[in-house]
Amino acid sequence: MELGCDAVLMNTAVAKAQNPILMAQAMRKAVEAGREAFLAGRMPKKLYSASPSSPAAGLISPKAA
Amino acid sequence: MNAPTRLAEQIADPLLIGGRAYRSRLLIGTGKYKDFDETRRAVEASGAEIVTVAIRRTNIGQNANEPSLLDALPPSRFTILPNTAGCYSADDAVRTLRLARELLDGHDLVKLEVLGDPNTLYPNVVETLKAAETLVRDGFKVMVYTSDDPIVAKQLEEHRLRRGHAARLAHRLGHGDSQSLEPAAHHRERQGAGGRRCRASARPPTPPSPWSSAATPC
Repeated sequence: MELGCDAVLMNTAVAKAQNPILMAQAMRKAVEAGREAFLAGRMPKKLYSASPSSPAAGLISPKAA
Repeated sequence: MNAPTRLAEQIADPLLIGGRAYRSRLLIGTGKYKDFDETRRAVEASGAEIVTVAIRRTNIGQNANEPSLLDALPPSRFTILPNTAGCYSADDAVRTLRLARELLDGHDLVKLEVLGDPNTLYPNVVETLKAAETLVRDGFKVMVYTSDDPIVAKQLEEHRLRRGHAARLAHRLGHGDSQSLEPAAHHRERQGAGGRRCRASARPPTPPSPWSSAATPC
Protein backbone atom coordinates (compact mmCIF):
# COMPACT_ATOMS: atom_id res chain seq x y z
CA MET A 1 0.00 0.00 0.00
CA GLU A 2 2.78 2.46 0.82
CA LEU A 3 4.12 2.00 -2.74
CA GLY A 4 0.82 3.11 -4.22
CA CYS A 5 -1.36 0.04 -4.63
CA ASP A 6 -5.00 1.10 -4.62
CA ALA A 7 -6.21 -1.72 -2.42
CA VAL A 8 -5.47 -5.16 -1.03
CA LEU A 9 -7.56 -8.27 -1.39
CA MET A 10 -6.95 -11.13 1.01
CA ASN A 11 -8.64 -14.18 2.43
CA THR A 12 -6.57 -17.12 3.68
CA ALA A 13 -4.10 -15.03 5.68
CA VAL A 14 -7.03 -13.82 7.76
CA ALA A 15 -9.26 -16.89 7.74
CA LYS A 16 -6.52 -19.33 8.70
CA ALA A 17 -4.92 -17.15 11.38
CA GLN A 18 -5.00 -18.52 14.93
CA ASN A 19 -7.39 -15.70 15.73
CA PRO A 20 -9.08 -14.61 12.48
CA ILE A 21 -11.00 -11.75 14.08
CA LEU A 22 -7.86 -10.19 15.52
CA MET A 23 -5.98 -10.70 12.25
CA ALA A 24 -8.82 -9.03 10.34
CA GLN A 25 -8.52 -6.03 12.64
CA ALA A 26 -4.73 -6.02 12.20
CA MET A 27 -5.06 -6.00 8.40
CA ARG A 28 -7.57 -3.18 8.55
CA LYS A 29 -5.01 -1.08 10.41
CA ALA A 30 -2.15 -2.21 8.17
CA VAL A 31 -3.97 -1.17 4.99
CA GLU A 32 -4.95 2.16 6.54
CA ALA A 33 -1.36 2.73 7.69
CA GLY A 34 0.03 1.84 4.27
CA ARG A 35 -2.33 4.23 2.50
CA GLU A 36 -1.46 7.05 4.88
CA ALA A 37 2.26 6.42 4.36
CA PHE A 38 1.73 6.58 0.58
CA LEU A 39 -0.22 9.83 0.83
CA ALA A 40 2.41 11.26 3.18
CA GLY A 41 5.18 10.61 0.63
CA ARG A 42 8.47 9.06 1.59
CA MET A 43 11.65 10.97 2.32
CA PRO A 44 13.84 11.72 -0.71
CA LYS A 45 16.03 8.88 -1.91
CA LYS A 46 19.77 9.26 -1.40
CA LEU A 47 22.36 6.54 -1.83
CA TYR A 48 25.56 6.45 0.22
CA SER A 49 24.83 9.45 2.38
CA ALA A 50 23.88 8.09 5.76
CA SER A 51 23.87 10.67 8.51
CA PRO A 52 23.90 9.88 12.23
CA SER A 53 20.93 11.05 14.23
CA SER A 54 23.17 11.76 17.23
CA PRO A 55 25.25 14.92 16.84
CA ALA A 56 28.91 14.34 15.98
CA ALA A 57 29.98 17.96 16.47
CA GLY A 58 29.63 20.47 19.30
CA LEU A 59 30.18 17.92 22.03
CA ILE A 60 30.92 19.20 25.57
CA SER A 61 34.04 17.20 26.17
CA PRO A 62 36.70 16.73 23.51
CA LYS A 63 37.16 13.26 22.16
CA ALA A 64 39.71 11.12 23.92
CA ALA A 65 42.92 11.03 21.92
CA MET B 1 -29.37 -3.42 -4.60
CA ASN B 2 -25.76 -4.11 -3.85
CA ALA B 3 -24.55 -1.97 -0.94
CA PRO B 4 -25.44 1.65 -0.45
CA THR B 5 -24.15 4.15 -2.99
CA ARG B 6 -22.15 7.00 -1.55
CA LEU B 7 -20.89 10.07 -3.27
CA ALA B 8 -17.15 10.24 -3.68
CA GLU B 9 -17.21 13.75 -2.17
CA GLN B 10 -18.53 12.38 1.10
CA ILE B 11 -15.38 10.35 1.65
CA ALA B 12 -11.86 11.65 2.01
CA ASP B 13 -9.56 9.74 -0.35
CA PRO B 14 -12.23 7.34 -1.65
CA LEU B 15 -11.54 4.07 -3.45
CA LEU B 16 -13.58 4.19 -6.65
CA ILE B 17 -14.67 0.88 -8.15
CA GLY B 18 -17.48 0.30 -10.61
CA GLY B 19 -18.87 3.79 -10.11
CA ARG B 20 -19.05 3.48 -6.33
CA ALA B 21 -16.98 5.14 -3.64
CA TYR B 22 -15.57 3.13 -0.77
CA ARG B 23 -13.85 4.18 2.41
CA SER B 24 -12.09 0.86 3.02
CA ARG B 25 -9.21 -0.26 0.81
CA LEU B 26 -9.27 -3.79 2.14
CA LEU B 27 -11.28 -6.33 0.17
CA ILE B 28 -11.80 -9.53 2.03
CA GLY B 29 -12.56 -13.10 1.00
CA THR B 30 -15.32 -15.04 2.69
CA GLY B 31 -14.01 -18.61 2.38
CA LYS B 32 -12.11 -20.88 4.75
CA TYR B 33 -13.71 -19.70 7.97
CA LYS B 34 -15.15 -22.08 10.55
CA ASP B 35 -18.72 -20.99 9.80
CA PHE B 36 -20.68 -18.04 8.43
CA ASP B 37 -20.76 -16.41 11.84
CA GLU B 38 -16.97 -16.34 12.05
CA THR B 39 -16.89 -14.99 8.48
CA ARG B 40 -19.24 -12.20 9.50
CA ARG B 41 -17.25 -11.28 12.62
CA ALA B 42 -13.96 -11.23 10.70
CA VAL B 43 -15.41 -9.11 7.89
CA GLU B 44 -16.77 -6.66 10.42
CA ALA B 45 -13.42 -6.46 12.22
CA SER B 46 -11.67 -5.87 8.88
CA GLY B 47 -13.83 -2.88 8.05
CA ALA B 48 -14.15 -4.19 4.49
CA GLU B 49 -17.05 -2.92 2.39
CA ILE B 50 -16.39 -5.28 -0.51
CA VAL B 51 -16.43 -9.01 0.14
CA THR B 52 -15.53 -11.57 -2.45
CA VAL B 53 -17.35 -14.88 -2.71
CA ALA B 54 -16.26 -18.07 -4.46
CA ILE B 55 -19.47 -18.96 -6.25
CA ARG B 56 -18.34 -22.55 -6.72
CA ARG B 57 -17.71 -23.08 -3.03
CA THR B 58 -20.09 -20.83 -1.14
CA ASN B 59 -23.86 -20.89 -1.12
CA ILE B 60 -25.50 -17.56 -1.95
CA GLY B 61 -28.74 -19.18 -3.01
CA GLN B 62 -27.66 -21.91 -5.42
CA ASN B 63 -28.88 -24.41 -2.81
CA ALA B 64 -32.11 -22.93 -1.59
CA ASN B 65 -32.44 -25.12 1.52
CA GLU B 66 -28.93 -24.58 2.86
CA PRO B 67 -27.70 -21.56 4.85
CA SER B 68 -26.72 -18.65 2.61
CA LEU B 69 -23.75 -16.37 3.09
CA LEU B 70 -26.04 -13.47 2.22
CA ASP B 71 -27.83 -13.94 5.55
CA ALA B 72 -24.54 -13.27 7.37
CA LEU B 73 -23.34 -10.56 4.96
CA PRO B 74 -26.42 -8.86 3.49
CA PRO B 75 -25.96 -7.17 0.09
CA SER B 76 -27.67 -4.11 1.56
CA ARG B 77 -24.55 -3.55 3.66
CA PHE B 78 -21.74 -5.06 1.62
CA THR B 79 -20.78 -5.05 -2.03
CA ILE B 80 -20.74 -8.73 -2.93
CA LEU B 81 -17.93 -9.49 -5.40
CA PRO B 82 -18.51 -12.92 -6.93
CA ASN B 83 -15.31 -14.71 -7.98
CA THR B 84 -14.49 -17.73 -10.09
CA ALA B 85 -12.13 -19.56 -7.73
CA GLY B 86 -11.84 -23.16 -8.87
CA CYS B 87 -12.48 -22.39 -12.56
CA TYR B 88 -9.91 -23.69 -15.04
CA SER B 89 -11.42 -22.58 -18.35
CA ALA B 90 -12.97 -19.45 -19.81
CA ASP B 91 -16.28 -21.26 -20.31
CA ASP B 92 -16.42 -22.37 -16.66
CA ALA B 93 -15.64 -18.88 -15.43
CA VAL B 94 -18.20 -17.17 -17.66
CA ARG B 95 -20.92 -19.65 -16.73
CA THR B 96 -20.14 -19.23 -13.02
CA LEU B 97 -20.37 -15.44 -13.17
CA ARG B 98 -23.60 -15.48 -15.15
CA LEU B 99 -25.06 -17.67 -12.41
CA ALA B 100 -23.82 -15.21 -9.78
CA ARG B 101 -25.37 -12.27 -11.62
CA GLU B 102 -28.70 -14.06 -11.61
CA LEU B 103 -28.48 -14.89 -7.92
CA LEU B 104 -27.56 -11.27 -7.10
CA ASP B 105 -30.36 -9.65 -9.11
CA GLY B 106 -28.18 -8.33 -11.90
CA HIS B 107 -25.20 -7.17 -9.86
CA ASP B 108 -22.45 -6.93 -12.48
CA LEU B 109 -19.16 -6.23 -10.64
CA VAL B 110 -17.21 -9.48 -10.60
CA LYS B 111 -13.75 -10.86 -10.00
CA LEU B 112 -12.47 -13.13 -12.74
CA GLU B 113 -9.83 -15.75 -12.12
CA VAL B 114 -9.06 -18.61 -14.47
CA LEU B 115 -6.49 -20.88 -12.89
CA GLY B 116 -3.84 -22.84 -14.70
CA ASP B 117 -2.45 -25.03 -11.94
CA PRO B 118 -4.03 -26.28 -8.71
CA ASN B 119 -0.82 -26.27 -6.66
CA THR B 120 0.54 -22.83 -7.45
CA LEU B 121 -2.79 -21.21 -8.43
CA TYR B 122 -0.98 -19.54 -11.32
CA PRO B 123 -3.47 -17.96 -13.71
CA ASN B 124 -4.08 -19.29 -17.20
CA VAL B 125 -3.77 -15.94 -18.92
CA VAL B 126 -4.92 -17.15 -22.33
CA GLU B 127 -8.21 -18.40 -20.90
CA THR B 128 -8.41 -15.34 -18.64
CA LEU B 129 -8.21 -13.01 -21.64
CA LYS B 130 -10.88 -15.01 -23.48
CA ALA B 131 -13.22 -14.93 -20.50
CA ALA B 132 -12.61 -11.23 -19.92
CA GLU B 133 -13.53 -10.40 -23.49
CA THR B 134 -16.78 -12.36 -23.28
CA LEU B 135 -17.73 -10.91 -19.91
CA VAL B 136 -17.10 -7.32 -20.93
CA ARG B 137 -19.17 -7.83 -24.07
CA ASP B 138 -21.85 -9.27 -21.82
CA GLY B 139 -21.98 -6.10 -19.70
CA PHE B 140 -19.98 -7.21 -16.66
CA LYS B 141 -17.59 -4.95 -14.80
CA VAL B 142 -14.59 -7.19 -14.44
CA MET B 143 -11.72 -7.18 -11.96
CA VAL B 144 -9.07 -9.67 -13.00
CA TYR B 145 -6.57 -11.95 -11.33
CA THR B 146 -3.61 -12.21 -13.64
CA SER B 147 0.15 -12.46 -13.69
CA ASP B 148 2.35 -9.38 -13.53
CA ASP B 149 3.07 -9.52 -17.27
CA PRO B 150 2.67 -5.91 -18.43
CA ILE B 151 1.62 -6.93 -21.97
CA VAL B 152 -1.19 -9.10 -20.65
CA ALA B 153 -2.24 -6.31 -18.30
CA LYS B 154 -2.34 -3.96 -21.28
CA GLN B 155 -4.48 -6.37 -23.29
CA LEU B 156 -6.89 -6.72 -20.39
CA GLU B 157 -7.07 -2.97 -20.17
CA GLU B 158 -7.89 -2.83 -23.84
CA HIS B 159 -10.92 -4.99 -23.17
CA ARG B 160 -12.12 -1.94 -21.29
CA LEU B 161 -11.90 -3.65 -17.96
CA ARG B 162 -12.07 -1.83 -14.68
CA ARG B 163 -9.11 0.35 -15.39
CA GLY B 164 -5.94 -0.67 -13.66
CA HIS B 165 -7.43 -3.14 -11.27
CA ALA B 166 -6.26 -6.04 -13.35
CA ALA B 167 -2.76 -5.58 -12.15
CA ARG B 168 -3.00 -3.19 -9.27
CA LEU B 169 -4.78 -5.30 -6.77
CA ALA B 170 -2.25 -7.09 -4.68
CA HIS B 171 -3.63 -10.55 -5.15
CA ARG B 172 -0.91 -12.49 -3.47
CA LEU B 173 -0.47 -16.21 -3.52
CA GLY B 174 -0.51 -17.83 -0.12
CA HIS B 175 3.19 -18.51 0.06
CA GLY B 176 4.70 -15.26 -1.02
CA ASP B 177 5.67 -14.35 -4.51
CA SER B 178 6.03 -17.32 -6.78
CA GLN B 179 6.35 -15.10 -9.82
CA SER B 180 9.75 -13.92 -10.88
CA LEU B 181 10.29 -10.25 -10.21
CA GLU B 182 12.44 -9.84 -13.27
CA PRO B 183 9.90 -8.77 -15.93
CA ALA B 184 8.50 -6.12 -13.64
CA ALA B 185 11.98 -4.89 -12.81
CA HIS B 186 12.92 -4.54 -16.48
CA HIS B 187 9.69 -2.77 -17.17
CA ARG B 188 10.39 -0.34 -14.38
CA GLU B 189 13.80 0.49 -15.72
CA ARG B 190 12.48 1.23 -19.17
CA GLN B 191 9.81 3.46 -17.77
CA GLY B 192 12.38 5.32 -15.71
CA ALA B 193 12.17 6.33 -12.09
CA GLY B 194 8.82 7.58 -10.96
CA GLY B 195 7.01 6.24 -14.04
CA ARG B 196 3.43 5.77 -12.94
CA ARG B 197 3.09 2.56 -14.90
CA CYS B 198 5.22 0.67 -12.47
CA ARG B 199 2.55 1.16 -9.85
CA ALA B 200 0.47 -1.26 -11.84
CA SER B 201 2.67 -4.10 -10.69
CA ALA B 202 1.01 -6.25 -8.10
CA ARG B 203 4.40 -7.33 -6.86
CA PRO B 204 6.63 -5.36 -4.56
CA PRO B 205 9.57 -3.78 -6.32
CA THR B 206 12.95 -5.43 -6.21
CA PRO B 207 14.64 -4.20 -3.05
CA PRO B 208 17.21 -1.53 -3.90
CA SER B 209 20.65 -3.01 -4.08
CA PRO B 210 23.52 -0.90 -2.78
CA TRP B 211 25.66 -2.43 -5.54
CA SER B 212 23.55 -1.30 -8.44
CA SER B 213 22.72 2.22 -9.50
CA ALA B 214 19.88 0.80 -11.58
CA ALA B 215 17.80 0.29 -8.45
CA THR B 216 15.08 2.85 -8.96
CA PRO B 217 11.89 1.47 -7.47
CA CYS B 218 9.05 3.88 -7.66
